[in-house]
Amino acid sequence: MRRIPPRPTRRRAAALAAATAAATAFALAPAVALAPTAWASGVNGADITLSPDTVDPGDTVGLIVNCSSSYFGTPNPTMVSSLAFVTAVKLHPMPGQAGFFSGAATVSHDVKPGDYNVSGACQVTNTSLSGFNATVTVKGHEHEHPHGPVHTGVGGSVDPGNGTQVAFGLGIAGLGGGALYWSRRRGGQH
Amino acid sequence: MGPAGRRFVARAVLVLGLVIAGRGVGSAPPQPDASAVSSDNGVYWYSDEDRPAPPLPASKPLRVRIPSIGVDAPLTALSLDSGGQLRPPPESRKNLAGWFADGTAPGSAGPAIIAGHVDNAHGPAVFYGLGALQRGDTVDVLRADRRTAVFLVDDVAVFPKNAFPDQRVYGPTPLAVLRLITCGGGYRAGQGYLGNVVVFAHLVKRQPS
Repeated sequence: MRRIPPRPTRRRAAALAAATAAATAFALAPAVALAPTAWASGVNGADITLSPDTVDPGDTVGLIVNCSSSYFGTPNPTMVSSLAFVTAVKLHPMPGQAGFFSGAATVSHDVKPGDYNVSGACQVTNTSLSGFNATVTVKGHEHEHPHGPVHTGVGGSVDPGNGTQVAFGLGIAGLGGGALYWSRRRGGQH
Repeated sequence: MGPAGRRFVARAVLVLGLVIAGRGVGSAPPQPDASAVSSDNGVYWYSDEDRPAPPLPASKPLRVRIPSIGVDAPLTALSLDSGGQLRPPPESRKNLAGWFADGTAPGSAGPAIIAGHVDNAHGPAVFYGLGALQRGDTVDVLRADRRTAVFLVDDVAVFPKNAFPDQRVYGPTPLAVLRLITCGGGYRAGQGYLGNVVVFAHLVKRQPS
């Protein structure tokens, strides 16, 4: 479980004032059926659960957002966004669980391994939001990708050559060629 | 000895000398033409059938065939050593190549890696001719699902071992691509081969040749 400091986006003072009440409200919030693997709570009780929170590129992440605190006048959440997701995710109310919203995010295929912030907010009033954050970890592929060169040869097909032998051979060929030349010349005189 | 006899001996000496000289000249595996290699991971095609084809579902590769250099070899599964380097196939079997079995299956989206020896202690091995491949040549990979993944060569490059471009060779790709790897880049006694020849190819819809 991870707790990430909340980021109320507006009216911070008001939000903080209600912290105690919200914490109480959170403790009474209905249990979420999905096994929570990452969980983070704002001071006002806005929180998000990611399942799973450790993913591969291309995976789908289930999102459950709790905007059920009595603190929220209109508990609709904003879209949930993350640099790791293909697009921001629109959430839908969960039937029978007032104040709870769910959605599914697709992790980008080309995202680099690492930790990515997932954020959104519950609407407090028409002009204020209370943010929630969580972290999704995109797994590295170090274990799956080779590194470096491959040792695929020992040199058994390489013949470095022998300069002495080449010179010697050319010398002999020169003798033969010279003899032939002289022989032809003499033959021509007859 | 008459003039004809002398000429015969002279010719024989000439030929003998040339043979001796010829045997003294060295030889080495063919290497790609450096000026023909592009610096990016471009994918090239010249007709509609050679456009990058949609990736196939993963299936185990069984054989690799490269008609233009006469390769037809079974494939064994390769893994990584503790340092993350690809272990080559066993050197003793000279007509055996290997594929990186924890990576992309040839024909699936991503870079499938096939490696083979350029030679062993006894002489040329399965990928001796790899450096002679050229853009437009094809590589066929026969798979367990009875499909043959046909790849079209985009580039043939040689990279020094001390500056091997991991990302370019092994990095993820949206297309189904193939990388064939062998040793090359010059050989120095005591140091072995100084580089790797890498063939870059992409999946096409062609029928196997």
